[in-house]
Amino acid sequence: MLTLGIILCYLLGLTVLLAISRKYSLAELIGYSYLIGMGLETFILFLLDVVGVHYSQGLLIGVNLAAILAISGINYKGLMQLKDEFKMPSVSLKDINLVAVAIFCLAAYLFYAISVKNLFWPPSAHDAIGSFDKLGKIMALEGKLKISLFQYELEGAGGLYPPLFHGSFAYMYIFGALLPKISITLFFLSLLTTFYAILRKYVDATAAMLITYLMMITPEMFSHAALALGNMPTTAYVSAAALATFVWLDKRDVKYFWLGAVTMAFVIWIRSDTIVFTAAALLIMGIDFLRTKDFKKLLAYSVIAVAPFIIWMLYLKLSIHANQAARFDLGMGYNAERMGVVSTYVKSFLFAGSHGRIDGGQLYGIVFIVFALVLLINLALIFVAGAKTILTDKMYALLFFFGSFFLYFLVFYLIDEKAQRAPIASLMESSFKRGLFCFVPLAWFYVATSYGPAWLFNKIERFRVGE
Amino acid sequence: MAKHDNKHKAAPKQAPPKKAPGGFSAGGYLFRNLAILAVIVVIALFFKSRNSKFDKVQGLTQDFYRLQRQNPNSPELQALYNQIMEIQNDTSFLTRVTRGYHWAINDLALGSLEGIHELDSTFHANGIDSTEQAVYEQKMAMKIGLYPLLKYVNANTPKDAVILLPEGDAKLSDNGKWNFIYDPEWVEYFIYPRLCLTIGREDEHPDLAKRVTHVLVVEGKGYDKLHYDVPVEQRVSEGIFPINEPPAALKPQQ
Repeated sequence: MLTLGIILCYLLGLTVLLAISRKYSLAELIGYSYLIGMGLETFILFLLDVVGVHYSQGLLIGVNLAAILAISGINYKGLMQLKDEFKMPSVSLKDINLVAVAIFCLAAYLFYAISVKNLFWPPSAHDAIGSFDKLGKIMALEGKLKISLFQYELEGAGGLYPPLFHGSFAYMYIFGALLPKISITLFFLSLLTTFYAILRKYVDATAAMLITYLMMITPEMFSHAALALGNMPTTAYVSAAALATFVWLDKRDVKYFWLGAVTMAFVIWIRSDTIVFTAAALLIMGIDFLRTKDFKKLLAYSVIAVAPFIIWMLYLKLSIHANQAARFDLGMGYNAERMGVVSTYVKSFLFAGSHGRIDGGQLYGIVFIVFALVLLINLALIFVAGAKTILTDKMYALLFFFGSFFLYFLVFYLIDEKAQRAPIASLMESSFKRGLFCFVPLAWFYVATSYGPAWLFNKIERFRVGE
Repeated sequence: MAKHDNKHKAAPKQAPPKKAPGGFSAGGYLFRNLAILAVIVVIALFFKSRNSKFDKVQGLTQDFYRLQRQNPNSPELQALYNQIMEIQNDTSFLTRVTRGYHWAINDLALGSLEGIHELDSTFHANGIDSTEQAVYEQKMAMKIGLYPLLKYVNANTPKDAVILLPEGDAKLSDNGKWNFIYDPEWVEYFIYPRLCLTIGREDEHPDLAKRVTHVLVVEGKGYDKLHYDVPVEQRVSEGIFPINEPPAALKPQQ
């Protein structure tokens, strides 16, 4: 039954994808289908809870089939055209990129190895047991989102998070899983495939595969592909949403507008603190509006991206009756001591420094160093390519990166230690550290596609094909 | 407006490969691909060789302590110590930014793959893999040291029990053996639908504090919460006791 549940989830996502457009790469289909499918599955679980219907396998199969048939029915003409447009690809030696194939094989083997580890061990991380896996398991047992533990405040910290992550565990349990961690493996697969697919819009397969591989083995993030924690799945959504939005702004292919908006909605449906990415997305869409004056697009994107946040806040207030005590000290102003602590940790994380129990090099390797280096190289290239070319190249990606990073920094700077019941150093060493995952694909995207590296990859590709 | 082109000059675009003069040469194509691959492999091997010394640290440390136990005055001790320190002190920038990758690939992924295959074989040889549930129980016991105790709690309490957990003092929280036995949100995962709260934090769960039915005794602590006296000679280090009435027989657990 678990296989059926996963197939239904993929099919639901695929149906929505095909309703948006008929033209996708295989990697896009694999990655976005699961992200959208699981996002919708958890939204269905939420709606069933709101109307008071208890979850069951039969009910979910029925709802899924009805949804898939309904969306396919609406998109009937499009699906018929899809059949006519399908062509078998022809393959010859010169179509095979041996370098990309070799890197793919290595990446696939490491993916297999980390997935075996993930699927072998039951969840054991404190937050998985104390919160996410517990919530998912009991949601499946009690057949509702507002499980009985809320009554006794035993739900754990994740209970106040929007339900996408622990809902995905509940979905797996409802379909008979003994361990829900297949969901983690599928999120990781989606992160890699969507990232590769979007990179391919900008660079050749060699560069896209190499950068995807480097992104994949970012040490701390890679380790989370075998843990039942929500940080890596959150990264999958942030990456897929942000990159699709960049493609829309760069290439004006309208399917990426909808992909960006829908996946950005799920960014806020998996964790509330990802609002920093929603805000950054609205910033770049807002800047685009100033150029294009397309108010409808801005409105549609904003409503879709922000609605889940409002829905969840209302649910917390009206159904969970959560005590949402203020977690930030907004009246702090400039506090040199706090700024010093947060800044020192940030420097250590980003530039391979050591502070407290943090070894930035061990956790994040080269990613942010290469990002900074490429940024400097691109700035130096102003003298070669001209200021306008360099400053407008991947401007949206940079604005998104720095905008969201600034807000993310601010969140931790303003955090109220008493409300969080943890000292700032501890929060930086745990929460901040894992939240940085979301910036890893964004940084690698810029590294792969910006002016300088794109020129270099172009040269390498021309050599490879013998041009 | 939607479909107008981006006006600014984008990054250099990849031109589609043109046909080489004289047609496609499979040999040349293969050579060029392999040349790029070779460069990547050489770079990877360079970093691997720089970091492979970290694999030796654990073995060298074990050798050091073994030798120290056997002969604290052995002249080899200093040489081993110097070797370990030389590796540990390599904090060059290149090492710092690449050793995480070495760990992720060699220890986390490939290393654990070997370990898992060995464990699978052991499970099979011992007949543990007869049911999925049995394998799950075994793995849980391997990952969570307290799992057998928590299973014992479940076996000896009704499903509507409300259990008082030990206080999270330094003795418990600093000893990995006890995992998070003092954290009700963590323990709840294992004992659901039973409920729990921690001694000293009753005010966080006032409803539950009024309904306590059992006390989990750990390291001999918790007897003072029982509404009856347990003779000292009958006290066990770990056990689960009804709060109001003494059990029919006070059995030592495990």
